[in-house]
Amino acid sequence: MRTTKIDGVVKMQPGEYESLDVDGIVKCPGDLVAENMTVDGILKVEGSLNANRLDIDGMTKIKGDLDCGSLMVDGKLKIEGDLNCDSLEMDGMGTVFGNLIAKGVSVNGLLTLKNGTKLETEKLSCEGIIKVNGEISADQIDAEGLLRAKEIVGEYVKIRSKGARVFGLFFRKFSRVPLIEATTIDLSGVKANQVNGQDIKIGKGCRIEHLDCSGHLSLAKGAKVKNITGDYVLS
Amino acid sequence: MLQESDLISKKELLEKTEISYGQLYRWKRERLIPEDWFVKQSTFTGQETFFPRKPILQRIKEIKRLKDKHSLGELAEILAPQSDQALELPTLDHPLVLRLPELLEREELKTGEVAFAWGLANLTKKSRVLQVSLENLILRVAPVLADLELAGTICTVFRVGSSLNAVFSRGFRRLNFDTGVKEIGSFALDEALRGLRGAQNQSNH
Repeated sequence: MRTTKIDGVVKMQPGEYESLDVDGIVKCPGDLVAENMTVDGILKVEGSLNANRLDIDGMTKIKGDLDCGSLMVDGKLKIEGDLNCDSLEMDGMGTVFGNLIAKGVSVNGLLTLKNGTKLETEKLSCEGIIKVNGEISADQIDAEGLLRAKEIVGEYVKIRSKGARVFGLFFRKFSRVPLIEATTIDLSGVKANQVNGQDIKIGKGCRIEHLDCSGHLSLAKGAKVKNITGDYVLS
Repeated sequence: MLQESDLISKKELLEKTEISYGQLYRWKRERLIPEDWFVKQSTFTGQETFFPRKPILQRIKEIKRLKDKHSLGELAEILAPQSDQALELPTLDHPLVLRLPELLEREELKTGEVAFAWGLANLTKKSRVLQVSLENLILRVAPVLADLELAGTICTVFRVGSSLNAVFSRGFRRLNFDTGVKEIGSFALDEALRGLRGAQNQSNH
């Protein structure tokens, strides 16, 4: 595979590349397509970026959409359009102004979705911080970090927030989500207005206004639930 | 504007259809249930989600009926409205399907148009129907197909004198014609699409 290395302060040609290594301060005035791409420097793409594999250790800003197979971010990424990928590993800082649709998402750093957009994935894990000004929808959510979203919905939602350590700083806070709805729910350290589900486990540190359960319900000592409805069995 | 009686709450929907939250949201992510069917209304607990009653119940019934026969991607294609779907012409050596771009005077074909042509050709292959009659029928049916959902739609083909015609109905219901009508047969549009995909996969291997 032919590798194109770009160093220095460069305005590069839009187009298709096989393997692209960006080390300098690079601006691309159009769309970029690459099989494999690494960014150790600073890259600004005025159009959209399409890559099979993208590793970002430096900084990348994309004005359009980002479509890729595997995306790993240790540095900083900003996307003004949508992000569509197979897998996302966010150990650094990512900001997306459009929607994020992926098969799998793992966040140990900070991921922010602005503009009331949504995060849709099959599997989401979080030991860092995720802030979504819209909906998080996933088959499976497993979070020990912090989640902030308008709604979290899916099949299996487990949020056991004990705070998050991101970039050496420790954030001791609750996960705050107005609405959580899933078939199976397991929460601790979560503040929610409404929790609806089939089988629900509310652990310590939770403050829930309204809860509706249609299956099995478990409430730990230290969990505060104001109002409970539904045809449930208390365990 | 939708009246209260036209809406069903999410809770009632899950109870009535016996699906889980996980299934509902998976089908929403896969675009099997349109996002604008999730209607938020204020209640004393905050906001609750409602759905247009008849369409959502019908849609979930269709999904449950078809989900074991089709992948989620195929279901999305079958259930999506026709107007914004363009289909690449299948790589099949089939006279009626291959004639479609020329007949319809465009390269981009809708899923329903190709499924209809395939279903029609298979239905009439043992009957003595002239190619020109089939083509004329396709021209008259194409504008009607734009507004039809493939899922659950049945096409009945019949002849009145020398004219070949088609009528579309929801579900297999026996249609009763007068004695001047000769019924040729019926086929389901979603089944036709499945048959077409199957034949296409075989010819690609």
